[in-house]
Amino acid sequence: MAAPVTALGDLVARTERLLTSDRLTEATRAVLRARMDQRYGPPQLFDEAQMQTLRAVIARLIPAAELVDVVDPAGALDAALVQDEGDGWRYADAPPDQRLHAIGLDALNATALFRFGSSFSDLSPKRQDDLLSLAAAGDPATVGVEAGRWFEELLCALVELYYAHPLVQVSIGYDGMADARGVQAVGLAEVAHESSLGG
Amino acid sequence: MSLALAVEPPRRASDAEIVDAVVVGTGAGGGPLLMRLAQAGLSVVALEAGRRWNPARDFATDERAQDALFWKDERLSAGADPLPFGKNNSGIGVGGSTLHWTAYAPRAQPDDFRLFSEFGAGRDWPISYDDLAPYYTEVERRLGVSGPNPYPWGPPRDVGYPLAPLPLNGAAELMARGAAAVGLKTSPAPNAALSGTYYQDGVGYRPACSNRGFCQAGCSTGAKGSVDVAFIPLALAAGAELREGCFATGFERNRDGDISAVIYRDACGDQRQRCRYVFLCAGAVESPRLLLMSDLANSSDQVGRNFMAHPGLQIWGVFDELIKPTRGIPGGLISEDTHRPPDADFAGGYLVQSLGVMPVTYVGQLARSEKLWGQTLVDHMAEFNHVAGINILGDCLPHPDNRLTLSDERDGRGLPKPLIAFSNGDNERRMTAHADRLLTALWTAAGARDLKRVQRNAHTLGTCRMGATGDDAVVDADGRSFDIDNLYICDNSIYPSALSVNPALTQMALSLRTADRFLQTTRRSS
Repeated sequence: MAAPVTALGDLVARTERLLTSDRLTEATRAVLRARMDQRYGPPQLFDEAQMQTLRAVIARLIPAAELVDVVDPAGALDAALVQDEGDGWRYADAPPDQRLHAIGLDALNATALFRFGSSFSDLSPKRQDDLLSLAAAGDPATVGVEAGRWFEELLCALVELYYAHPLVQVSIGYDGMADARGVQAVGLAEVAHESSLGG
Repeated sequence: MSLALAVEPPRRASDAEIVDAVVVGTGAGGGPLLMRLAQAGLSVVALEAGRRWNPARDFATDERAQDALFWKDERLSAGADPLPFGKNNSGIGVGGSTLHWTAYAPRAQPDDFRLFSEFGAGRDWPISYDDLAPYYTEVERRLGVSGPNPYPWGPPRDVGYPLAPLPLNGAAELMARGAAAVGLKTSPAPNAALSGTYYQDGVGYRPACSNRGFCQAGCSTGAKGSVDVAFIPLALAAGAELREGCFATGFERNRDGDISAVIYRDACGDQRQRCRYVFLCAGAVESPRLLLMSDLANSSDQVGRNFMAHPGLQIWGVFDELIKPTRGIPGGLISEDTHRPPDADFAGGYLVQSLGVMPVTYVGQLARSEKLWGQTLVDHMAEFNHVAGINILGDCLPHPDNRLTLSDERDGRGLPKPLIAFSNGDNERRMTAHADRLLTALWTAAGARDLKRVQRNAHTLGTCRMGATGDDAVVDADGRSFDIDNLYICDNSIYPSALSVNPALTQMALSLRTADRFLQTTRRSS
């Protein structure tokens, strides 16, 4: 008897079909294949408590549990910070990213413990969201004085990692990577027509 | 189709040899003049910090992979409106920021060069639109700008755009709809991307744009007119030498105070190239940084000051129509009816542009600007294929305290990281408020819902400004340093005012003019 087709399973299958199709150039295929196959080992920058907080934060920032589980933005962020390639800038009033994220995660967890007597990851979603809203506002009582920029940097890093993943891109119907077949439809009428043909 | 004719391998000048010119940086400021100087018979060496790409082979249609086009050395950003750098505004590689420019190519208008005369705010340029007009025409021909003839704004032109406008994408069509409803005149925009196959001597045939919409992450087809496509092959064919992976770190000077050599670092260590002239074209961050590190050319105390960045408010909306926002040239439509709005309470003005976007860029900008998270983030991004945007590009007044200085932090080369302090002033805030009202009305009239705003300032400008005297300017009307006779600066740092258009087309025109003025006014050494 065939295994039941889950929504995630169907998405994976569709993404795999795209990755092996003639709709991608070889340069694109190589990049997306590597990202699709990427798995992250134990964290090298964050400690266990920070990873636990980070995963709980991600669950509220990007509430898409199945996809988040596969894409593993927590692992991706840890790996990116360890690689330390940088993106060409930072706020002058913020410490370097590695330190900023560690401070922010520690401060958020400490605030949870202080205010509610439990670690951030054990709080109710409502209480987690309340603390995240304060963090988003840069509230020093929540994230400390050094980490006012932390929420913005974290959110930006996470969503960029997440929405760069082929599974997530296919899940939102994005097909911009599929440009190997020449001139693409442009304009409302052409795009609608292409869509009606199943493109 | 092949992008370029074959070129001979570069000849490497020895340390004993003195070349006529060293050009630092091969972007919009350095590339065109490199071509012109080499074609005039000068021995020229270009130093490029990045590498030369083969786009058809190297460029993936993926934003993260294309991060390699952006300047990764860290800049520190301060002020009330700290600017993001990297992929926001800073390129690296042969072609510089033209590797990632959107190809939006409007000309400045004559009054852009006379802001102080008209408003008593900002600065006038020591040159006029008429000085640049022939160079605009030449750059438009070399890049292959696709645009409407006649162009609805600005003075009449002798020569029209060499190619018809590109097809409009969804965002452009929707902006046209909304603009009609609010009484704003629009037109297909001039874009440096080919709407048809285009042949040029020394370049060969370039194909028409395929609508992949990845201009800001590197054009893989050769349809976009970037400096590496349109100027570098001609420079190399004329004998220019291009050295990749070379980072300029300083200068040697002779007894007369002129520069005698450029010191740079490559994979093997510190090198120097002796030269008669230097063209510093490293951009509005790296050019002043190098001068400040070298304590050079700054008797005016203006090096690093007057940092400007165009107010660039974006408004995004979700539409019932299927859009697929990466499709087509991103900036399909333009309006310059807002160039000098009659109801303005600010000096200068702005243009309105329709916007396509790639998903990672989009979601990252929303994260910073709207701090969009949680279910609303996920739900919004699920509608990405129905998203379209419009933005402004407006003039920015110079302020001496908006400036680049050298920080106390050192980078991987042991050099001080640049610290850029930037704050929007009253003029920028009033202009943005005016634009917000207009864009909101326009986009709503077009059918947008769930509006999102991205507050941003675009480009980097003004930090080695051009002027009439060396009392308060770094270079003269020819781009020549007031302090160092054989130093020219040619990049966005020389802008005394920001203009109300994207800078790249104007920069390439300035680059050709700088070379011509140099050749006219300087006796060429053999």
